[in-house]
Amino acid sequence: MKSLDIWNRTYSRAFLDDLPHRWQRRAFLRATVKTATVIALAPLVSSLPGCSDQRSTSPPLSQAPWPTLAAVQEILLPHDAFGPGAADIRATPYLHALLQTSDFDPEERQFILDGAHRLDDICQEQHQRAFLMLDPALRDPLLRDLAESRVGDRWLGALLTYILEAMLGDPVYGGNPNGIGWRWLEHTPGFPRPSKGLFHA
Amino acid sequence: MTDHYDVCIIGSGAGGGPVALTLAQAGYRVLVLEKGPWLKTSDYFKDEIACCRRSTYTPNLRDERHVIEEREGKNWKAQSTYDSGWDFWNGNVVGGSTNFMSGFFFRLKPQDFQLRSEFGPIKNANVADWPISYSQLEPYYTQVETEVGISGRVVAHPFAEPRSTAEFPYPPTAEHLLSRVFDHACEQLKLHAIPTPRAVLSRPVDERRACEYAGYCGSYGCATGAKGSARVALLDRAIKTGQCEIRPHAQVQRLISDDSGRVTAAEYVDTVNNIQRVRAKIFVVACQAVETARLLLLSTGPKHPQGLGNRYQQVGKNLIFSAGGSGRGEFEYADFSTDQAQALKQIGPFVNRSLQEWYFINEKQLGGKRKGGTIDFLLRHPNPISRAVGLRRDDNDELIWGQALKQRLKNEFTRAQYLDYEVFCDWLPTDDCFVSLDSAVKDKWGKPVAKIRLNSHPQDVIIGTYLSNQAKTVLTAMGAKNISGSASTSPPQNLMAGGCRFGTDPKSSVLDSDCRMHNATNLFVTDGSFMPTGGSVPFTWTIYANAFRVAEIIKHQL
Repeated sequence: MKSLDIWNRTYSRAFLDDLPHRWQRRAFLRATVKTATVIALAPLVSSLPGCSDQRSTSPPLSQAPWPTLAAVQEILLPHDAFGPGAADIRATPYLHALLQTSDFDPEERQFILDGAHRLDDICQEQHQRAFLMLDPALRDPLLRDLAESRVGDRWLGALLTYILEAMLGDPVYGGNPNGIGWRWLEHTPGFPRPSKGLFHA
Repeated sequence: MTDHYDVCIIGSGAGGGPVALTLAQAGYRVLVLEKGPWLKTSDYFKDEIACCRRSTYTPNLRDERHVIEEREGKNWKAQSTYDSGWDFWNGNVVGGSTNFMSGFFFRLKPQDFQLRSEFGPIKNANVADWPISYSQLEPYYTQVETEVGISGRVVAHPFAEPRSTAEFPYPPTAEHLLSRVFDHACEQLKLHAIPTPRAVLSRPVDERRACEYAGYCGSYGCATGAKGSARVALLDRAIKTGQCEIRPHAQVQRLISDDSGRVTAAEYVDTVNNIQRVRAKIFVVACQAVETARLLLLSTGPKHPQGLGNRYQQVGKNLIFSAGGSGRGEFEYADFSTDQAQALKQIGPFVNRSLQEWYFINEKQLGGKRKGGTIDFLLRHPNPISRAVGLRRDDNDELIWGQALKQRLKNEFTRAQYLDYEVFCDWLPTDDCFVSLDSAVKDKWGKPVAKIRLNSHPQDVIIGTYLSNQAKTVLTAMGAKNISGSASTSPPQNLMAGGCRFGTDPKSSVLDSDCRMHNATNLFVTDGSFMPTGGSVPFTWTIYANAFRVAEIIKHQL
């Protein structure tokens, strides 16, 4: 478990202990229409109409570490007869857009992206292959082992938080296409719903 | 320094709005400085990510934070809100946090104005009588009903406060099925169900539309203008007089005072980080308790070497919150007919019920006559992300994912309707709950941030627990299942007051009974800072009313 130990030691206990809070209310959106965030959000918002499915496989989501992140997200929220999975709710494009917003905490961004590489290191050590090459039946157990460590718990916890944001946030942010998450949970959204105008005005 | 106003108001929320409107209508030149942006009704959407997941309407904690001191054993442990994520900002936009309130509006009771005389001193608490009486504030409570717009229905109950009018100017907002279930349970328990008065319009007035029952009220900016924010209810009208100017993105950093102690100018940072100064005859500070105290402490001058009004070290002292607790009961759809279940699922109409049966208590188990409080009942907030995120860990704090998480989500969202209760009781003022300037942590402009020491008095929890248990009894009588709830020693950071007490003795108060600073006669404080005790209700109606009262005093002083 050398790779996990190294990963664990990379982040201070204080940093990791703060994470559940940090993820909750980090400012990355500003209501003021003059901030740089507006520009940062624009590509995401303008990509929404039509919601091309290719987007989830086109660069940069086809480049490391995004395929690994997408695979982990699908384990955390699998597609099945019971309800939508991570790909159905566009969890990966949502996370990608979120991490690109200029106001997103750089330390946190690094922590999330780096986690996919660390996961590969651990997988190499235990199974002599990258996570994406691992037998799907072995992936979930590997993540369950990982969750036993502080750093793994915080990393997976963060991914889960953003999966749930993608699933139940307004589609304007790139997840929850056509309200699929709301429909699945029989949830009535409020009105008026945000338009891209909020960030473009 | 070309600008010259009659009145310069710092902060545009519940404390600033009434002063701006009253003085603009009287023909005075009014300037309102607001550190945040000026968002209009059309800028607000039902967007949980913007509203409640990010600091959209409050500063980035990396740039502007607070330091919170909490007891740890015998010592005080300080942590910045950037590190803890416990955000103490409450809406830095025009209209302040009134944009995001739920608008549960209650008056204080006559006895709340003289708690020390009524209940005697409490050990380790700084309970003080107010220098004014309920009857002096009553006309302004009534004024708020029409100026801000309060909907409701007056009912008789043992602790109903006197009113000078028979009814609210607006009828109650639409009600949920659970309101009737609640009323029925209260009849059985011989309790007096009170329709909760709301600062929400049930019918349109001028450019404000009536509530359209979108189901997302508290924490959200109102998209119809029905919610009585200081912005739509007061400031928009002040602007129309042609006498009031609102300057958003103006972060006031200090007030400048002269050799006589009078305030001569407000110094602020504008959008492009230039320092600007404005002069006025009278200055009004209304930045909400913590930031008001901070601004005064930062504003040193020849007569105010320790900060404005701080010659007896009273600024920032006796900070209070609303004490209490909260809880929940579940109504499973399977226990109801199809039609009833459908009505239960409805979001939009409000439950709007409260109990003040125990506003004053006389119980042996509590040691006799005690101040109690208010219990408010409301539908659980529909915010789906926050509900879902709360389900990603089990009771042992272990992560849940995959099938198990999906089942948990489905069960949580589709099985039952949830009725919440909130207890409001006095947060007793103590020596260990105050605002000061942090000696190390600065904001992005290099100014010391506010350090908030938090302490709750043991009696707060005793009373909170007593009321919480009463609420559970009502939920039980309503047929709710899985009832849970408790009292809390943690303050709700959106319900803060105190820090600049008004009183007659300058040695134990910052403001006189007119909310004028004892030794700076052209400076008034009109947010919740003036309150020596907070009453056992949300503060907003009282802040609005007092600001209207002080506005009349300023009018006579000009």
